[in-house]
Amino acid sequence: MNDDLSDLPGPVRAELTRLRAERVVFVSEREKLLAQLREADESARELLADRDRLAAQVAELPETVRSSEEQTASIEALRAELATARQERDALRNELTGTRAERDALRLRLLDAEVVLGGREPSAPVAAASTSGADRIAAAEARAAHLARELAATRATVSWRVTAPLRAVRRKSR
Amino acid sequence: MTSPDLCLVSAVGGSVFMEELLEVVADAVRRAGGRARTARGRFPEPGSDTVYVVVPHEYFYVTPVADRPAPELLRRTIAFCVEHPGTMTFDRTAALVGSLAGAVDINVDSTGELRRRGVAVEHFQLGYTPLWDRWGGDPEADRSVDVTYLGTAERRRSLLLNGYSRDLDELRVRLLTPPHEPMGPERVDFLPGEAKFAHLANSRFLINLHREQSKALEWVRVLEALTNGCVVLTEPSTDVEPLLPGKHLVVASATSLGAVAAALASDSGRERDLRAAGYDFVRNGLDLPGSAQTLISLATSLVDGRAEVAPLPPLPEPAASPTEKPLAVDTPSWDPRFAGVTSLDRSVSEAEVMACALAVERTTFAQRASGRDWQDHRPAMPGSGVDVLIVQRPGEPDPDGLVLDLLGGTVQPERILLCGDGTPAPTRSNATAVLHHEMPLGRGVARNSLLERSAADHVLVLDAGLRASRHLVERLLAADADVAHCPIGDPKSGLVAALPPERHRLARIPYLGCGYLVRRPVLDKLGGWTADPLLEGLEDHVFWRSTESSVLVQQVLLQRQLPDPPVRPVDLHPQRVWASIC
Repeated sequence: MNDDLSDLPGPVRAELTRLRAERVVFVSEREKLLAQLREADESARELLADRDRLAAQVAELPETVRSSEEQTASIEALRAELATARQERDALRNELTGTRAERDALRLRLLDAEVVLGGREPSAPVAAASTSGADRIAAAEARAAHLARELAATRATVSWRVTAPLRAVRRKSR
Repeated sequence: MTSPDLCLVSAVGGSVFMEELLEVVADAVRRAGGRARTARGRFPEPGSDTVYVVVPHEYFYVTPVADRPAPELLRRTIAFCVEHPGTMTFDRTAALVGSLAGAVDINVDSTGELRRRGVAVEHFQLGYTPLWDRWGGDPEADRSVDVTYLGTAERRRSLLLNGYSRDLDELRVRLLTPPHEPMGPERVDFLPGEAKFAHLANSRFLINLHREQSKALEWVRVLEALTNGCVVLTEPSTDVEPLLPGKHLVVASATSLGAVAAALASDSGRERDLRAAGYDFVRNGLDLPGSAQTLISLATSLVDGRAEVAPLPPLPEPAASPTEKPLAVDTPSWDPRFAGVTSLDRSVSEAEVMACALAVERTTFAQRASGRDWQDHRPAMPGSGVDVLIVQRPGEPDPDGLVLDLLGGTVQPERILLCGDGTPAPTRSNATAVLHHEMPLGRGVARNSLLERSAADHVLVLDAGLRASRHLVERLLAADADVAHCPIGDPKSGLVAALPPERHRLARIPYLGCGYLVRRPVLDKLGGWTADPLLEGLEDHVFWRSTESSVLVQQVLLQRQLPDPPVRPVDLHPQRVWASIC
């Protein structure tokens, strides 16, 4: 394009200059609008994708609600089970305390029985003692043996009782 | 007339207890107004009024021939007899007393037996001596040990002590079971003199058990305990009198002593009464000054050196002092089939040599090719600073019971890491994480893999087949040591791993195994456990040989089932395996 406008009349030259300036502004404006258009197009595509995703979620919603209700029920059941297990644990702890007290009492009774027997030499025959003394020793000996057996049985019971919650948990978790 | 110069002589290389006893006798003589001194080895040159006192069964069997006293000195020597009838040492005593000018005996039964054999012997009743008393009779004095036991290791007693472990679990226990060997200076399981008296003054109860078939009361040990306010619980004995069972001490059947100790520990009034009565009896009921006067009188009658004595009977020549002390023959091996040098005698066939090489090759191949799979079961529980490593090898019991023991303990571990080394993968476990090895790769490889997952400051090393006390972690941690371990109850030997690590003993027998708490830096420095397939079954032995410092917690806190491992290289070619360690 010929930029030399000197041979044009003044008013025409001024008008042409103004038009050229306007053209530059309009081109710039067009570029801006084109960019906005591209962004709007991208947004529209994302919105469409969101719409599709939301539509899918809406379709799944009844299933999710159902699953959530089941989970809530399951949690409630587990809570109830936990509460029962805790009650059972507390009861067993009490029982353990009682059994330990029983064991301690048995130990003391065993001690008493052993003290009664204590004066007897290991090699001294029972017959060497007087009849009443022999009877007393035999009775104490039997009592000591009985108490020792009882103590062993109590220990076994304590062990079985103490491990009951653990066994219960293992059974449930299998 | 002044009293004679009594010289009580003990043998060089003899028992430290005899030396202590003669010191007590000398002190009693001096307190009774006499003159007494002690010496070791050869008899000192006699003065005109010197009379010697020796424990004959020890002095004449230990002292070199050149140092034995001449016959003229034996005419002014008194036998101090301490052994009970029915023992070899009593028979030695009985054979020797006729060669000495006089005799006293600390036991009623042996005094009677010697008299029955025609020996003129006076009863020397032991009693209270301030040399032993570290208590002073203060009923309010603190005692930090509930139950103690002092006696050499021996199978019968070990089985009984193991049987007490459940009854004593809640109490603070110290079982001192040194090997049956000549004992020298103080060690963790042997307390001579001052250390022993301080320990007894710090203990509430002493359990007393007889050695092997003996039924006689260990009078010296019992008096030491009573003098220090330590209540004595003993199995039935033939010569308890003049002590009164139930008043001065408690006599109970051997199998019940653990339960009896637990019962008394819960009855402070009864304990206090027994303590006071025992102490009072020793102080006021036993006439040690009278015994000392008897000894002085006997010595006075022998000062002229004219007593008729028989020549010494033939005696074996004492062996020259060995450069290395002999080791007890009855220390149980940790391993059920391999006992170190004593297992090296049998000849090995070519087939066994080949089988050994094949076994090593098979494990080496497995270590390269086997699948390894980790499964996480539960989160770690930070706090204690202890991780537990448990390895289950083929044929070993399910370790879940052990895991539950640890979870129910007074101190819970942060992680329990379990490896099934060639065992079926567990469908469920209470461990924190489980490593499954498709093929057996060896305990060392398994432990090293578990160690990679561990992040705690301390590592407790266990095997499947063990069961743990609820106090295990707590008490091993309390030892505050690089390595802390404890005796382990065993159905056959009673106690295994009940001795501290000693280089000379480890060179002969693998007597220590797992069941130890070790600081992580110690393991890192060692590089973990040996993974050499040749050393299968001896991984812990190799560890102990490298250990520089450790503490033995003297309470039975672990029980083991008798393991029966599959055939290993050490079973096939023990010489090669042992030589590769030594």
